[in-house]
Amino acid sequence: MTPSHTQGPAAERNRASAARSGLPDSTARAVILTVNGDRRTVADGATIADLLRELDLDPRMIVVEHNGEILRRDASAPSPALRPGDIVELVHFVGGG
Amino acid sequence: MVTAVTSLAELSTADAPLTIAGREFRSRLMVGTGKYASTALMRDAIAASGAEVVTVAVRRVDLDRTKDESILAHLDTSRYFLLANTAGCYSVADACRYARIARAAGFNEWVKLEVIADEATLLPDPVGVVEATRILAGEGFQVLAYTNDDLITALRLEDAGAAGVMPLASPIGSGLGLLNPYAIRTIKHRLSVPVIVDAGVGTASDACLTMEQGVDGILMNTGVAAAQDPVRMATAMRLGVDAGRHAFLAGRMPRREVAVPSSPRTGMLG
Repeated sequence: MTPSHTQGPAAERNRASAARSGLPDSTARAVILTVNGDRRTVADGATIADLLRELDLDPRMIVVEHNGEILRRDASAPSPALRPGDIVELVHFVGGG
Repeated sequence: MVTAVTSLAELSTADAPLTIAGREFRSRLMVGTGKYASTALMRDAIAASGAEVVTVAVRRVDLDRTKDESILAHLDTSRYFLLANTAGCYSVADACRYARIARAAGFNEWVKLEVIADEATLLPDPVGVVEATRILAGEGFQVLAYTNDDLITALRLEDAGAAGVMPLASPIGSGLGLLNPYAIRTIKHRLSVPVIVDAGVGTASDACLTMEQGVDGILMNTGVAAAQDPVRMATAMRLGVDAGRHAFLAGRMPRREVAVPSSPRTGMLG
């Protein structure tokens, strides 16, 4: 699933509807989180690695801070799962003095 | 059997490498990577400067323009030593957070530590930078601490474990040059760790005058990037730093208030 902005009336209606029905449809099972200050949704069960793939970001070029914790770039370590309300910061080097 | 003979000229221009935290650099000029009109111009200017250490800033990836690549796409990291800064941080906690994120990028454990106190002048927070230096040095960072041209703060930074101290020549991006040569000279005289003057150098004569105070090096960004021709200014800065360094090592003649002729007083025609 491609992450998408979930602000706006349509998204609110979907969430409200899903909450009322309790159905395990795709909207209800989406995880809402904050990525670089913006609200986004990812599929239930998505990991940080999934998020980076979806955003077309090269993990070697960025540092990920997940709920205030800096993730180590250890390819052998399992990528953390994303949970509702998570705060993710995707950071890199830019020009500066 | 012929042995290699070093010429007197070579001997007289020899200089020890700049050594910071056990790492040696041949160039005493460090440059930033910000404010260039293009990345091609940045690359050419950095190459012309002869710098081995280049600074970078830590920022969010712009997710709306993901093709706006990391600066690393434009820098040969096998050629340059990356020095991440904490520019834009106004608290100890933020500066430490940015430093830790930079270290997690995996290049080195160095940080150019900035804790800024005032938006108008971008002057550093002396209390905050000492505190952040102590925290980060305790975590194994090699801290190069950006500070005022104040001796006591510089001494406190050395006590706190800074690998180097970076007093300003004048405010960041001001190009006002070396405002207090005495203060910089005094800091260099009293500290054991390297002193790298950072910020305010506007042109090659500023770089030369700064190096003449005996400091170990200079870090600059805007002085090169904001020149009409950054590549040529980078060359001028490299030569200015070299000239100032040699002048310092040579030891200047004493200043005196009277004229002394260079030509003989005797042998004048009758």
